[in-house]
Amino acid sequence: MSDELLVAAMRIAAGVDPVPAAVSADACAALGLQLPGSILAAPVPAEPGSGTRSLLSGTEFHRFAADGLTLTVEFELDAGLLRVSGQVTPPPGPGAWIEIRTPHLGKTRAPSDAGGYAVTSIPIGWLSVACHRPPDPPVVTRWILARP
Amino acid sequence: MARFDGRMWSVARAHGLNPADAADAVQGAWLRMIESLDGIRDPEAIGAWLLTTTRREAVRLCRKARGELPADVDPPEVTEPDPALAVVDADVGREMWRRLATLGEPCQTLLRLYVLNPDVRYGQIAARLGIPVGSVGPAKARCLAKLRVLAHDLL
Repeated sequence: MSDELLVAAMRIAAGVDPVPAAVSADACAALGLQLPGSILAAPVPAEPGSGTRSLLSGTEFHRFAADGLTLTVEFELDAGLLRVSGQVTPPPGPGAWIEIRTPHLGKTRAPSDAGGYAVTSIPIGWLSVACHRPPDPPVVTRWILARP
Repeated sequence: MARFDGRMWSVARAHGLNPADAADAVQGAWLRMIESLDGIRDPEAIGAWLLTTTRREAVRLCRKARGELPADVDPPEVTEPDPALAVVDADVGREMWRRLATLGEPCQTLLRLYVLNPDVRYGQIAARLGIPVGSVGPAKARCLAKLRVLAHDLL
């Protein structure tokens, strides 16, 4: 039994440090973020030299793959917000769109002919990238915590 | 949801996370649940699954804050809830408060200060107990070990 779990139980019993309302509201918002029918893209190791590894140093790089698609996701801090960019390989073709999803907002972009995308002014925190490519099901990355 | 939120929050905070980090850990657990719904075999176990995932996210954030973990390492997926998390329960907590009262000093005072004030600083505990700040960490560890012994039959 860990100390942390005992302390957690005692705090619950004492009624100290209750969960803030905003945290509960965010949990409710999370429940609306399921993308029915989507294919979850698992993380795969990034290639050496493909980017710095921590947002503390300015940028952070992730790579995901599923259903024959590879999605890269790169974050860059810009005045307290994030610039999110990346590449879909192979390019998903006409009619596809990229959706940057956060618990509080979603932004969509049409990928370039080469499969690139970029979105600015994304708040720091949890985010996921979805590649919509009708009529095939969307491919969506695991949620990533993007913060320094 | 209300059944789970408070326990998830307490688990995250008990791992030493500040409120902002604990909020990220709790939200991360809910988001992991959304992306793992198809893989959760027993819907009745969803509370335990959320607690287990919250704990993993909290540990990961702690390690990341200490520079022990690269930022882009994803946590392993939770396939089975951790049964140890069953102690995160108000009834267990009340029983532990009763047992804490059997501990001598300075453990009683130290643990009360620590448990009832999640953001208390070691300097404040040291001032209250009249001991050097550098002694607070080791004393807390000794007192928690004694408390853990008292809790041996609760799981």
